[in-house]
Amino acid sequence: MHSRSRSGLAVLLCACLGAPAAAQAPAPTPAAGPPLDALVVRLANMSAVTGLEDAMAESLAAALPGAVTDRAGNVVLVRGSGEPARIALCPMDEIGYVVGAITPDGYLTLRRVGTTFMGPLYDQYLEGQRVTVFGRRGPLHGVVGVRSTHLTRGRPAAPEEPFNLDNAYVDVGAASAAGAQALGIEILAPVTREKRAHRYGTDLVAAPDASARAACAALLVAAARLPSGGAAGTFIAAFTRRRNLRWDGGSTVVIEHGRGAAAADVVLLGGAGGADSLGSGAVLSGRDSLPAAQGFQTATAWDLPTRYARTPVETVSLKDVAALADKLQAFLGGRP
Amino acid sequence: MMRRRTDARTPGVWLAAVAATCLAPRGVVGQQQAQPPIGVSEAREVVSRLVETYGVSGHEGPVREAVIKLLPAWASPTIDSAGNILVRAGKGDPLTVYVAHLDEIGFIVTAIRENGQLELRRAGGFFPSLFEAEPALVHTAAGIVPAVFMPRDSVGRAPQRNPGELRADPGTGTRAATEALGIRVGDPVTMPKSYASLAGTRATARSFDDRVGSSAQILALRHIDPRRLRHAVLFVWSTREEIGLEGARFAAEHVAAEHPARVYAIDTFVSADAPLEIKTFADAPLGGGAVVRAVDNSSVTPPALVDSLLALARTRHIPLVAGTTNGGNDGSTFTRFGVPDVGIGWPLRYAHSPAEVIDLKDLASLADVIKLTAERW
Repeated sequence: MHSRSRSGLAVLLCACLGAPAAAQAPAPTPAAGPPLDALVVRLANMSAVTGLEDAMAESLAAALPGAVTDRAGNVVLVRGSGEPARIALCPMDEIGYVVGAITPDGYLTLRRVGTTFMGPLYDQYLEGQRVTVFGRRGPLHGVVGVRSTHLTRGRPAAPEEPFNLDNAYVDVGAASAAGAQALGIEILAPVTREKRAHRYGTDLVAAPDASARAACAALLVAAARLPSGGAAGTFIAAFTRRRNLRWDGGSTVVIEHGRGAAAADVVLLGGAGGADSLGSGAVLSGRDSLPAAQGFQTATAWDLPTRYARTPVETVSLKDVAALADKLQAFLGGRP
Repeated sequence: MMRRRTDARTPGVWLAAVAATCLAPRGVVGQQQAQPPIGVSEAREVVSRLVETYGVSGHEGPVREAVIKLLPAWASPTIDSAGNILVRAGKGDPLTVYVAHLDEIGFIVTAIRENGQLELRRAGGFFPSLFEAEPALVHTAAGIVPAVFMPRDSVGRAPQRNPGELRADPGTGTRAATEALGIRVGDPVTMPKSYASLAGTRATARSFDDRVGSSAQILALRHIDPRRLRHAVLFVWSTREEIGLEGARFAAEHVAAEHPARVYAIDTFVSADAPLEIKTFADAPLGGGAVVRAVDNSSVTPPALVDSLLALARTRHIPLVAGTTNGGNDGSTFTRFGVPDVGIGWPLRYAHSPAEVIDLKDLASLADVIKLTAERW
């Protein structure tokens, strides 16, 4: 085990890979007026495995002047002072994988990271698909192997159970363990599906974790729109780490800035709401909580209507994302 | 089980071949000037263009155009009524035929629901789970319309690997809105694809089967001097292989009257060189060169031809092995006319998945074998 600091290099090299070109590049500055839809796509193309979010954090910090990185690694923008404190938390992390082992013939095996239950097919969605391996020398293409359908003919039927992560062998083209290591791949290297946000319909965006990424884009835009002073109290816009490990990062923000705040003053983003109102411009509101010290902080959840949640084509509507950005701007600015 | 590996392609061997050529007397009958082997970079340039072009079985138009653009200037391609591309070169008997298929697996729209979703039928054999919950492209007469392959409606209490028949969602909500995008019953549907380099000379993409074979024929033609051919050759890029060898069947019926001496089916050697495969046969390693597909589900190559071909490759230091795998090949449509089918392929991992993997050295080797057989066998 060892600590890792590969993000800067990863950012640089990722752009050279082609497919993940936008994945690790710094997000554009909202203040400069980027279209919200471009920001959604850009964030959706990025990867941030739970606990290994450095590259994403750096990009978000660069996109939000005045933001600081707190002791939990969250990217936090604080404006104003005094009561009340209004907090909006958006998780930057995703359920992903790290390299668990490298076989003698150069394949990588995987260990899932994060505890959030994503459904029984989440790992199956990896089978036969392209992934990105974030090695020490930068991101690399890989694929998760699958049996060739031809070679199953005339043989007993394959198991009907969903694909199991223990059968996930990542092929990066190496022919030996040494060959894989020579590419900069080591045990614990993060691995995610290759990200390529897919636009369809009139204003739909499909991508893994599209709902959370879109919510973070909305928060980024809302925070950047707000003046540096004028509103009563304090607002905190936080992009948090380790949502998929008990909301660790978000809890740190609440403990630091908002313990005991009214539920209405703490907004949790990133949830995938129901699909019925997709594209209506609605934001789904509910009650939630997150761990805070010895107890729980109650909060309000603002979820984007989401179709095909927890799949590689999780889908949100840009109209809904724009509505969320407006609602966040009003909330952080102290308007009802 | 592989057998009779010829010498590997190594710099030393190549240098030796060059040296031998320089020292040999010119113009000796039966002794052709050695030419450099077909290179990996040229192989990459050709195959990357073909795999980034779409062509579901029966809808091969775009890839047909791409192949024609990549042919050498001297080639005069014709298109038969089955949509096959035909290129002839050389004169005299006997005619030999090469056939690689243009088409790729995919889906066809069979109905448009009231809610705008598309019902799909598979074109070709593959695991539908590999396409579930993935981006989709509908290839309409008016252009490409993005959509998604829908996740199954429910996983139930005992989740199964197979999602059953898939549907696609173009994000419209109504049949009228879907039709307004130009989508019609019969349109092909694919998953987006792109070429990506892996370590060394390996690469991944969808539809290497059989764009590698199609590329190998293009590369061979680029390096053949048609004036030096000692008999006529016919190169065919066939349609609808994945749904029953239909294009090749048409070609075979029309070429049979010319009594071809052999047909070479240039198609995938589905390899067991992958961690989840059973290695009791088909274990051709990637990077080991082209493979004579001597026995598959559709044909058996006469052993004397296998031996002769391996011996010929050995004389030119072209990597070539013989083996057996599963699947059918276009050449098998010629055998009822008394034409021996010599299948030649290259090792492919994860066949008919979105993540097929090849080694470009094998493509170059395959193109060398095609060129050699056209000129010398």
